[in-house]
Amino acid sequence: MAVNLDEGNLKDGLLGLVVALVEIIQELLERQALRRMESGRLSDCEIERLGEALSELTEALDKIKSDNNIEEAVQSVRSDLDLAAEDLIDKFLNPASWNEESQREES
Amino acid sequence: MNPERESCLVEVLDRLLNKGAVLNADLIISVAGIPLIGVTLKAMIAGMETMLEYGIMEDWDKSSRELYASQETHIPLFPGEQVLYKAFGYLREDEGLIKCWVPGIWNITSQRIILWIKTPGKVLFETPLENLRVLRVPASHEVRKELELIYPEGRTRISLSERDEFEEALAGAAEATNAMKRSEICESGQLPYQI
Repeated sequence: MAVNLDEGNLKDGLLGLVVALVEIIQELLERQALRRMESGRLSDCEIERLGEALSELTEALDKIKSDNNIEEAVQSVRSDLDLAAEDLIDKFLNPASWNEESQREES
Repeated sequence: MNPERESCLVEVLDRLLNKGAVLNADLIISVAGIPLIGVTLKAMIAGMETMLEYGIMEDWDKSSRELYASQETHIPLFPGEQVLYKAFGYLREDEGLIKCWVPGIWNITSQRIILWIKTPGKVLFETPLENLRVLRVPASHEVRKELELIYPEGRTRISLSERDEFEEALAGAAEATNAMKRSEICESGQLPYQI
């Protein structure tokens, strides 16, 4: 599955792609941070610092998005990537449907 | 557009990290049946919590947290100095081969302008407010919202997305400094004025 960049405005499209990837990493980090916080290994001070840093990162990303007017570009790249991931999982879980699809394409 | 929607890709990657993945590969390259080069690959990816559950990287986790705890977390200020304004911004690094914008937090204190970097905690740039001039870079010459700082030792370019607020805060701080100087003159017969 192809990820469609807005070719009319390559700069925005490219920035959108990069920001989308950073956003995905940031969400992953957030989830892992939550797991670490819940594990009880971190001190209160560390938890606070981690939370603060992550929320600052979110803020900075939002700022970059609104400054460059790329909210929609980012959103579209992300939904493309999500679709690609869904597609991949689907093919892993139902190899049969994959075969069907390739047969359909051949005929 | 629905930002609340759970991202499938993130969900998949998160599960991968929670579970952890290990790759082990041994490889021998041989010519004419004689092994010549051996390769042993080991790769592991997992959330730190999963790593720790398996007892991997425990020492590293501990030492890196301790290292951070030992670093400075606050800007070293002079006695009586106060931070008046803070904003995220950049400094243009002109030295060295690569000219680039270094991100950090611009602080206007009652005495100085400081660019502070949080990790590792250090002051990247500082100059006293006294004898400081700030110019706007002409719109035709700039890519981002830039300001030029001119101080006795030289000049440098900085950039802030909240440029207007920064200028206002700087003007306020400079006025306060001047007010301080005036009161110093008034009380010239006494000890130098301190904030």
